[in-house]
Amino acid sequence: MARPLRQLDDEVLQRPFNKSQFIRLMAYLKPYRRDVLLALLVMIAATVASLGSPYLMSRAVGMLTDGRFDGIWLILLGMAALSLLGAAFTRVRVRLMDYAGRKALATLREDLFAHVQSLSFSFFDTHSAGKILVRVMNDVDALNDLFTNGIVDVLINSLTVVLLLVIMLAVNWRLTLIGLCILPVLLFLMFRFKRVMSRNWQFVRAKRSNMNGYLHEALSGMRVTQLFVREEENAQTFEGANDEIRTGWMRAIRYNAGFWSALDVTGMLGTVLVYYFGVRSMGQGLQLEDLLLVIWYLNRIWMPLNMLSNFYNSLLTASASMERIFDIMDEQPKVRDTQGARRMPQISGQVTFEDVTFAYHKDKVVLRNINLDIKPGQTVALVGETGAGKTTIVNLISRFYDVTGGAVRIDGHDIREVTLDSLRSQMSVMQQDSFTFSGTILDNIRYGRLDATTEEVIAAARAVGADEFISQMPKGYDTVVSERGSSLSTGQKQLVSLARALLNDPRILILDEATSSVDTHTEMLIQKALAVLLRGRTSFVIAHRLSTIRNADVILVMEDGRIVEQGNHEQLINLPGGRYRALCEAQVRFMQS
Amino acid sequence: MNSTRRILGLLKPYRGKVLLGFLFQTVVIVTRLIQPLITRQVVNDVIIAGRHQLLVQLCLTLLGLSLTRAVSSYVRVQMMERASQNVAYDLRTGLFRHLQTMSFSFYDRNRVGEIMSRMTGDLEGVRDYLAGGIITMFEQGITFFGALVFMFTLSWQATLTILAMLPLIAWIAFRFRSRIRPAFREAREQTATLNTRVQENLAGIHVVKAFVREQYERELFEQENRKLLGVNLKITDIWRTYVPIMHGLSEICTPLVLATGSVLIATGHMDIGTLVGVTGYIWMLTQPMRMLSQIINSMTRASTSAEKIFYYLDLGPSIRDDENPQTVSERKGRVEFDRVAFSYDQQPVLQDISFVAEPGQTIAIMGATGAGKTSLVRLLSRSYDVISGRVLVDGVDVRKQRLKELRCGIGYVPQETFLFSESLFENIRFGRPDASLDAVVAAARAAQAEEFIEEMPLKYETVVGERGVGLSGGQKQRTAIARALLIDPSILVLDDATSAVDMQTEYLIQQHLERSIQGRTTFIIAHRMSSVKNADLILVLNQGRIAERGSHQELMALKGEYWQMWQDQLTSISGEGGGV
Repeated sequence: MARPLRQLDDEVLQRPFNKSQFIRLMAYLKPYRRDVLLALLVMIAATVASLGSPYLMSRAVGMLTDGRFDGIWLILLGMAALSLLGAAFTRVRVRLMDYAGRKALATLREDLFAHVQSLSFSFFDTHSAGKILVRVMNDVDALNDLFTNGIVDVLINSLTVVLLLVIMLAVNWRLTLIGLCILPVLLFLMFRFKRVMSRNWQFVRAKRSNMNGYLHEALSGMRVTQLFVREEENAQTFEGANDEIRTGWMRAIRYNAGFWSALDVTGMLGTVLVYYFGVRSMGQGLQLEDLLLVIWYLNRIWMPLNMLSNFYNSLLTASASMERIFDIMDEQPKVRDTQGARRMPQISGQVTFEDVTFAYHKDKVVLRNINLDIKPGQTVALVGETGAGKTTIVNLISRFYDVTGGAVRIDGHDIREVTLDSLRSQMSVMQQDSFTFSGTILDNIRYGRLDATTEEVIAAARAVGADEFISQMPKGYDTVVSERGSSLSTGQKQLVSLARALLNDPRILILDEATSSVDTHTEMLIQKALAVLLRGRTSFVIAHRLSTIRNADVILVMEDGRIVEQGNHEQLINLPGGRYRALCEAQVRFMQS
Repeated sequence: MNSTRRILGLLKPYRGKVLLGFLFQTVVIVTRLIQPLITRQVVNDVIIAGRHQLLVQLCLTLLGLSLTRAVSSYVRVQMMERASQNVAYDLRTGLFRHLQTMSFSFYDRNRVGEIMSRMTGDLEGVRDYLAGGIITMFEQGITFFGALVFMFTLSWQATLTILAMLPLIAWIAFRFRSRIRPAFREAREQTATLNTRVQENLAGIHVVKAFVREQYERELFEQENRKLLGVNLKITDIWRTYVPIMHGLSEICTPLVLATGSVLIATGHMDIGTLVGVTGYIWMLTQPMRMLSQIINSMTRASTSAEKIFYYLDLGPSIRDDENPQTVSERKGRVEFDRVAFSYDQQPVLQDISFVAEPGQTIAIMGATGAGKTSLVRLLSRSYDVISGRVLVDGVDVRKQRLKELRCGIGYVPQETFLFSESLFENIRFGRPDASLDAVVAAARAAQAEEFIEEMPLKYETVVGERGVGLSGGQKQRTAIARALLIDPSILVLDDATSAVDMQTEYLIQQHLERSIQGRTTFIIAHRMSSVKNADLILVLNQGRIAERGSHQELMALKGEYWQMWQDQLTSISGEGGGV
């Protein structure tokens, strides 16, 4: 039987409106403030125009009742002019507001994306790609309505209500008050109902975002699902999640429908009251035209009032998106250029660790008191069990993380005192989880150095032994691979990534299990090629195969965040009772057993 | 418009609700249509003629109409929303079930992000159309014709005046429609492009940062983002070219009617009450025209969205059960490849592969990167179909077997591990959702996963996967091995399943596996010779063909490719000088 979907989403049902974030958001409209102000003026004019029509109409009825026909054409002309003016105003307002809002949002999205690019690894360790994606795309889109309509509308609606009230009261204050006596009931209904409504809609949204998360995962893992014949259970889980949405939706819609029905009846009650008392006072100076005007205007007041009551809710909705966006915007990159950071000069390749300690979290120390001195051009191999801290060490060299204690120096410069760009651009890091972007193989390799010529790309591919399989493909280097690189085997992806890393012509090369899925023969070819290519470059290699390790100048054997043995193959293999020696012996025994 | 008809077809199971919805909507409209007649009576009979005794009766009628309308519209909303939610549910879960039947090649070609946007945004467009769009069309249509009839009975002259404006407004509406439609499509496509751009950037963020390509990525992003902005502004421009004019023209109807009315009143052919009543219908007549653009929007959006959804639904799985599937009496794990050829995107991957694996044997597959090792084992579980030849499992062609039965007997450990955002417990028993904790622990132990799981704060309840705790590559692989062992398969496939674990752990895994694989036919893809030398049959693939086959001893005696690989590795371990 399928279990209910695990609720993993961080969507909170109710959150208060955050004023300072709203102000921050509005700052994006600042470059367009002239447009926004102009739009506002145009809208005020449009509002006045739209309110003018019923007024003129009621005057016309008055004139016709009295049999005064001569002035009527003026009123007709006025009404026609107002209609056309209204259309023109709308045209201008949409041009101004939509352009301003859309442009502001595009800027916000670009800022957000740029900020995400600046964040450090520790951020991406704790935030899944899916969630960040939702923020950059959907949450920014969710603000569109607020930007292009919301803010202007709220002002216009307020203005409409005020204008209507002023004119109605001026025309006949007694009748107006009678018509509005149901207003308190209505306001109560609006604000009471709306609260429940918005809670219900938020429930639906939360359920839906959870369903979307599940969907994303189910699609990504579809191959596993099919291989393990889990389709039925997954379908049931998915159906359960959808059923919750449907139920939540129907509950929410009940309130919506109820609200509209209540609005209809209460509104009509006001109209009826005006008729009743209006007709009774017809004899005492009340004109038909004024009665009609009050009724017509009364009918027009509910809509803007309703929209005003909606505004707070749409603010709350936008608030959730706003908060998620600024959550990321406020995230400071843990690793960044310090003040007065200098450019790293051409690296010659000396790498020093001075009593380096590192912890991802305060209570979990990963590296303890690491001391190292690697000479320019040396090849360093790191050996040890999974979790011993090998990857952490190389991640500190490229400053993907900052040390918790001690210092990492390259050519004597503390790497925290040079700019990140100048540091990393002289290094290439290749991780086990190789990644290909969707595009041609050529573009994928060229990612290592954007201005490389095709010849240089091919040379790099040839150097790592990737040229062979690439040129066998029908389209060769122009073969399009996808994001997950499904058309390439894992080993092939690693070769492409390796070529990319080499093309960058790095002074320091870091290979973190870079060839784990490559066959032995190819790997040996790579080794030979690397031996030539690495001449004069410092390199760090993490590998499980002894073949890769044994030729290194320095072998670091790691255990539990410490370096327990250090030396070259000859030295370590002759260390009685040494761990490296045990490792080699085990491996040989393993093969010969 | 074919897709529109198909959307409507989705409502069929709920036609009772839809009909009731339409019925109550009609009641709502009738109450609206009657209202101006009452107003006319109030003005003519009560105010002008002074028959005040009628007032209470008329006011009560107005209230009664309003109450009827309130109740009817409440019921109408319930009916239509229920129907549309049901359709959305049917469509979404149906699509999900359908996607689950799609073969690997479909997922090789279609990106998850794109499928996602079909199942969320596009589907919502269709639902919205069913819940609101159709009823709005119906509402506006009935209102329009109803108002026309009612107004005509009051004053045919005034009605004709408005009708004169109609063709113009309709023409503008259709111009609008033909221009906005491609723009919407463009916007949706550009959104998908931008979405993919961001998704890819985030998936490869490690590479981006390692190569200091943040600036470059930003430029790429901004390029696409600006394109999207451009399309959105184009939509704004189209909108503001047509829609305000439509609104303005419908507004002008009021002074036109007033002009006609004035002439009629002046000549004594109309009374004031009728004029007021007629103005009540102007709004009802012009509103549908104004709404025309909105209806067109919703309809266009829904039909383009539906096109995409139906495209998926119409795409049959390339791999499906045979019409007359054969049942395998006993799953022992005998595998036979009979002159198998396979190609991928017209690119030959495997050619002339023939071999037999007897139940319980271990088959090792070796070969260079891209030699076709993974493809070969994928044919076993019929993730792809052969081009020629056949793959037999327990004597029956895999294409003749029920997919589910076939796959239930195969424990597959893929090269790249995918875990779900669930507890380790649930992940391990993924293939056997009713397995007990003891069974899960036993499988974890056999896969050498027990140790690291016990070290986790929540042990087996630790949530992993994209939205949970990150595991190292080796930990993931061990979890995947446990997952495969738990289903107690007659065939076990280890596709480079230990590439990310260190050698000692691998050694331990193998020792444990030796016990677990007993009685199972096991396929091992590995690069380390140590993993393969005990296999009953070793296949060395070279460019999609079996270059060498035999046991370790046989292949060593052959002194061919296998022997060379063995030498390479021995040399690399013990050094040129030999001897440790």
